[in-house]
Amino acid sequence: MQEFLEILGSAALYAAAVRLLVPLLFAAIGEIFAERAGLVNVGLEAMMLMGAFGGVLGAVDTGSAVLGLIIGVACGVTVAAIQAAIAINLGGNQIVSGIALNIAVLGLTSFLALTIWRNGNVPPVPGFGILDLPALASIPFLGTVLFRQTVFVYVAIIAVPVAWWAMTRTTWGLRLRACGEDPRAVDSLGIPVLGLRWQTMLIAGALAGLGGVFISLADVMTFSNDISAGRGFIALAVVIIARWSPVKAVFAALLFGGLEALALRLQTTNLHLPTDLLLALPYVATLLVYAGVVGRTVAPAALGRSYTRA
Amino acid sequence: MTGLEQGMRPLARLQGIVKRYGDVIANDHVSLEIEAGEVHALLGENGAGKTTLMNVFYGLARADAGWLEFEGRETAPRSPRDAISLGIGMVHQHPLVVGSLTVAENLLLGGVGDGTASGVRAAAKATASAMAFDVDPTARMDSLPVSQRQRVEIFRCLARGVKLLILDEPTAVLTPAEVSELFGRLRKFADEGRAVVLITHRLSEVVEIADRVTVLRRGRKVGTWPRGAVSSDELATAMVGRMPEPVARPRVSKGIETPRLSARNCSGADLHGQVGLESCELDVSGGEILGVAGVEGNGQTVLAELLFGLRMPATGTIEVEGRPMPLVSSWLSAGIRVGRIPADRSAHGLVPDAPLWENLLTGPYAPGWLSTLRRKAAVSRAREVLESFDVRPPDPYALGRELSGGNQQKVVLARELSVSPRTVVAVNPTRGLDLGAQSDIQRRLSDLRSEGVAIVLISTDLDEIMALSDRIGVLYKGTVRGPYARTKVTREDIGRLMAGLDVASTETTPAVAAEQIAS
Repeated sequence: MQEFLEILGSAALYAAAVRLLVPLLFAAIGEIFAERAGLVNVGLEAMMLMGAFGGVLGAVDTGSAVLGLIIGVACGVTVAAIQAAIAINLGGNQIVSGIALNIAVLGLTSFLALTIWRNGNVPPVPGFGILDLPALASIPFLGTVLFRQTVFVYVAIIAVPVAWWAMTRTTWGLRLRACGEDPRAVDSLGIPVLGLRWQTMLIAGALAGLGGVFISLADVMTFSNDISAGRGFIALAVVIIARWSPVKAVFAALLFGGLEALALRLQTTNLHLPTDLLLALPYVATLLVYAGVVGRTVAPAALGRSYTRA
Repeated sequence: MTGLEQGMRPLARLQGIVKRYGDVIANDHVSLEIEAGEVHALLGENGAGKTTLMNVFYGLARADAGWLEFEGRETAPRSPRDAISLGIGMVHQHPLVVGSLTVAENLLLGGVGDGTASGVRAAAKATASAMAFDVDPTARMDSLPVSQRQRVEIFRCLARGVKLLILDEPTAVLTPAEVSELFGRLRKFADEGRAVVLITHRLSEVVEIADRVTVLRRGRKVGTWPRGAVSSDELATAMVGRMPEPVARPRVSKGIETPRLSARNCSGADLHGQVGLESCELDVSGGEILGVAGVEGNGQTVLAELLFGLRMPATGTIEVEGRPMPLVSSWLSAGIRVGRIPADRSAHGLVPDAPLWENLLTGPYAPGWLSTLRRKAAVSRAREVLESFDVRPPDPYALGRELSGGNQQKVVLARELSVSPRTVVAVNPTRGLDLGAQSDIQRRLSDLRSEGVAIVLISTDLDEIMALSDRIGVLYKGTVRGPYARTKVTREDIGRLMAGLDVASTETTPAVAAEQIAS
């Protein structure tokens, strides 16, 4: 018990939680943009995985972590463009095309990793190190948790209010929210529905790609098969728990990230706690939210429905 | 000089517009000129192509042939954005506003206000004063009544400074007082040198406000006339192509044999919190139409649900041909043949996304679970049925939602009557239909009666009740009053009963008398 409480009180636990929530948060914020505009983007996982792969490929080839990041994000955007063409222009089933992309990208990245880096032996990757923020990092506890992190964490912290502002305080955000509610009404006002949806899908791809780059270039520092490990799917759950709000997404992501961090810590102790059950908790929460037990979900009315003019 | 030249040119011109949806021609070489300063009515039945024609002008549909001109310049709006920048505004039949957003946000979406929160609120305030109605800018759009949503939409167009305002059946959601207010506003708008196109199927509106009227019938233009040049009768003929024949006079019921369908002491609560049904009594025999009149919301929904076999009565019994009526799921096995024509044809009558041949197979009349679907036979039979019911287009592969309301209703009728039911229950069968379809469907019901079918007609349209029924019951606060023989009551009597009053000319039932005293 003593040991358990010690873990709960340690700054290292919370620093790990923040680290684990970052990819979820990036992907979730991107997804919130897309879903608010009426797109269900199940291909989030594919975009993250492609981003993680592209990041490593770029960083190894160019020797620059920053160029790797750019290439990784571009990879995420490319996958998003495919999904956008299918879902927005061709009116395909968004969920089916998302699932197809997930499977395709999983196979593609594994295959490419195997052929490019013989037998998957990835050379050392130039990644992103810890960037202590001067002054802030020396704040006791909070400094360790928030300000002795990679640059990704800081970007994520800024991304949340920016996303909130764009969504609720700009005409662009109003238009995209209206697209997700009633695309016909938006179209009749001369606002380009398909263009707006394309924008949000590319944003989702870029942010998911960024989340993937974080995993491969700042967290694990290498690429292995299925390195995103379902985080794209967890991000979809985060969006639902956060009820399509970027601010609430922080807490929802923290729920998943925190429990994962706790489970990891507990495995290193000789406490015999069922960590698998602990890891299952956020999913139980997701189910409860879906079933309407915990609050009412208020999904955009036109979510997942493609729009074409009669 | 240029002003004079422009004054001679029409504000807008459509020339030889053709629009096809698959094999269906919605607009067949239609030409139209709209002058500045006029209210131009576009008159026609449902499905005549009025909305399609205006959608072409508003950029919501692309014409397959023909060209458009606005202020003397040729144009081809590819999207509403193009139309809006020309100065064309369109108010749609079902207000196209985003329900989950606020009034202010909806105005901002339409380009009203300067994009800041305070600017939007100011715009909303301006709406309120310009349109002379109180609206809370922070209210969610879907919390407002439809008439107010429409006003916001109209204002949104006006605020953009449109030169041509197109309104698609704007009066359907308005009360008579609101209609005359709207017309006053449109008149003023036109007098400022701008133009209004009013899409309608109501003759009275044309007479009331239009300077000129263009009649469309089945996608073609019949003609354009200035106000007063043609009589209402002539317009009606132009619209439907023939004078709607009066429905055959009701015959007095023979009142023989046991009732086909009867409800004894039936009660049931309304699931939506409206008036339920209380000790309802009615019966109908073969060869007669029992009309059930009443103001909407007096128990019609529950009565229909009970007679449709969708639920069991809380108390009392419903009998069909002398046997207790089970839920609809057992009708097929029990050999019960009651034709059902529901009130909401697009929600309960048809599967909107299924082709007509499949729609004709739905319902409790589908083949048993072991019989295989013979598609070819079903399609060719569907084609026959559609033709015999004069459904347009008689295309078995057309989807339910692609049909106009009148044609949808004909498909429902075709399906329900194709198994020769001995009893038919119809709820508001002609609501929202144009004159042609309305008289068509009423004639079918009248013919069925002649063939010996028992019909319950639940309708809020008093004219329809009076025209068709042999006996008339009146639903008031969940109980059926009467029924009275059609020959023994006047329209006014039924009107009084619908309002909960007593009837002067018939003997008073004890229940009614008691209620009179109590109130």
